[in-house]
Amino acid sequence: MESPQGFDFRQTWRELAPEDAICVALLVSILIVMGLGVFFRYVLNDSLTWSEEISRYGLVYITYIGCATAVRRRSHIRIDLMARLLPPAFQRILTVIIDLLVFVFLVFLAVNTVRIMDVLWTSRSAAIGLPINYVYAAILFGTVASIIRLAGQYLVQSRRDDR
Amino acid sequence: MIILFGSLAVFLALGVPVFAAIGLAAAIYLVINDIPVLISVQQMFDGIDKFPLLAVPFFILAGNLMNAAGITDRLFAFARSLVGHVRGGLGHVNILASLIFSGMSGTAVADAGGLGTVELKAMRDQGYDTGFAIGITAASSTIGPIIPPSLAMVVYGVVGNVSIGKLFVAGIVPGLLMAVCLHAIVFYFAVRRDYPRDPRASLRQVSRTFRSGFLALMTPIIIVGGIIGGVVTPTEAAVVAVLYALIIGVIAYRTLNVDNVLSVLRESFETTAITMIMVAASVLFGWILVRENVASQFAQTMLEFATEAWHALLILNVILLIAGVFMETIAVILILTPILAPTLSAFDIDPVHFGVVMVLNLMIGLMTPPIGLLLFVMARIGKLDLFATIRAVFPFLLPLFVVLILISVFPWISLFLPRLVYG
Repeated sequence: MESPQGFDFRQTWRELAPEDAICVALLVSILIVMGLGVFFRYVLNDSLTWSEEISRYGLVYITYIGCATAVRRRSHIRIDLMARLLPPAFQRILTVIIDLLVFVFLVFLAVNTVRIMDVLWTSRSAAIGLPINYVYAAILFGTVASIIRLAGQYLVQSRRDDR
Repeated sequence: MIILFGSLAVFLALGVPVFAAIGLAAAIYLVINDIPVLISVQQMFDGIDKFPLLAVPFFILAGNLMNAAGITDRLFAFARSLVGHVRGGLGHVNILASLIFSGMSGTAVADAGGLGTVELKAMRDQGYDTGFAIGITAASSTIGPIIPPSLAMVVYGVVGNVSIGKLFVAGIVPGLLMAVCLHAIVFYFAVRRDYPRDPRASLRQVSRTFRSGFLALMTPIIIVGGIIGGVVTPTEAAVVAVLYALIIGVIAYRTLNVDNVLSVLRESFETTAITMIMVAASVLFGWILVRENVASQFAQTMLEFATEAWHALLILNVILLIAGVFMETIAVILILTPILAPTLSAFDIDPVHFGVVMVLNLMIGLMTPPIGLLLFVMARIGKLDLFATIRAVFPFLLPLFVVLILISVFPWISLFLPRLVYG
């Protein structure tokens, strides 16, 4: 890709939050891998067996790591009708309650992911023989990152949300 | 069972993010009923580890790239040269441009947020009242998820185990029908309120805007044609759409650069993650519903109430409308599809037909308070307050209801094209 004048790619890249940078990189990667898959199937008439599996796992990673981005930016889809109807003081209390519930669920997921990884440690994926735990780890990384981002909003009061 | 649905309702009403609300309700249910909780992680993994779901990030990415590449302006100019001279011209242009764009984008919100901005500005500049402009922009963007590609259809197809290719093809005629009905209502308003029109474009102008928009106009043909012709699977079509958008944006139009591609990537992965995590949680929820036989019990109950397929469809429509009004589109599809599936087979309703009916119902929900996402988008880009937006959008629900009734009563409107293509 051409680089326009006055634009510093490395600068913008560095300004991305770590979870965002990972997801952007993953999205580009699965685009390339899937593109290769299509190219091999149509042009070279030879299906790549690994491209499908790699892309699926990439998507699993994007889903869970990207969850942390959405937690940070409070962009998860929710029904905010109740909050709109409440006076501001109650809204803040409601936000804390909601965050606590999200926190409980994320901890539940993280703990059980560790437990399931303990069971699955010998399993491997069908096509490329990747230890399946490498993929389940996405849920662990993602939930832990989300917990950090959620807690961070309370611990670091002064830090501004980027955007 | 009461605990499962009760806690879900409470969490959703409180405003807990949908994925956590569904997940927590399921987790509580597992713990109380002493079911091994490890199943939750397994379901939330398997649920999204599915090949067709790869269409989700790529269709989101393709739509956002098209918007960033300024393809929307070219489409709008082309549509304007074609129908701008009719009374209420820009209203008709709005519909036509949205119809073409719906062949490239998979969500109504991408349509409203990108093309909608262009449409709204042009209409205001020509002196249309903001209410009418907002109403028709919102309504025309709901064509997006009916005409392929469609994010909602991909999710429905994966959860309900229905062919995504057939669903895509089934949406084409109903989508065109929506456009026709919207043209009718625009014409009615235009004559009554004496809306302006453009001078008729000369053939030269038409051919100029066509050539300027040619590469963009090829996108729906590549995507829709590729899927109908069986050349590519929907997932591959999504990949091709992204690569094509990149090529014309970077090389032909030179409107995409590293800067805006990076911000498109960022926006797209976030939308993807938000959608997919809801899918993951809903698959867990669906697993519990199947285990508890909720779906077949629901089908039994329906059999007592309804004797014929159209009775059942009527009841299902009401359920979907209510659900669509109070909940987010993808969440409704995820929760209701597994519950309703046995009812469809009990009444011999084609799941492909039902997919189109479901998505249209949810599009109507998208335009109605309190949760209508499209209302919020329109209020934001139109800089109108929410209540004025709701009032502005209201009349445009009528043509959508007309189409809903038509496609519910006449299944062949949706089904004849997929039968023709897939046999």
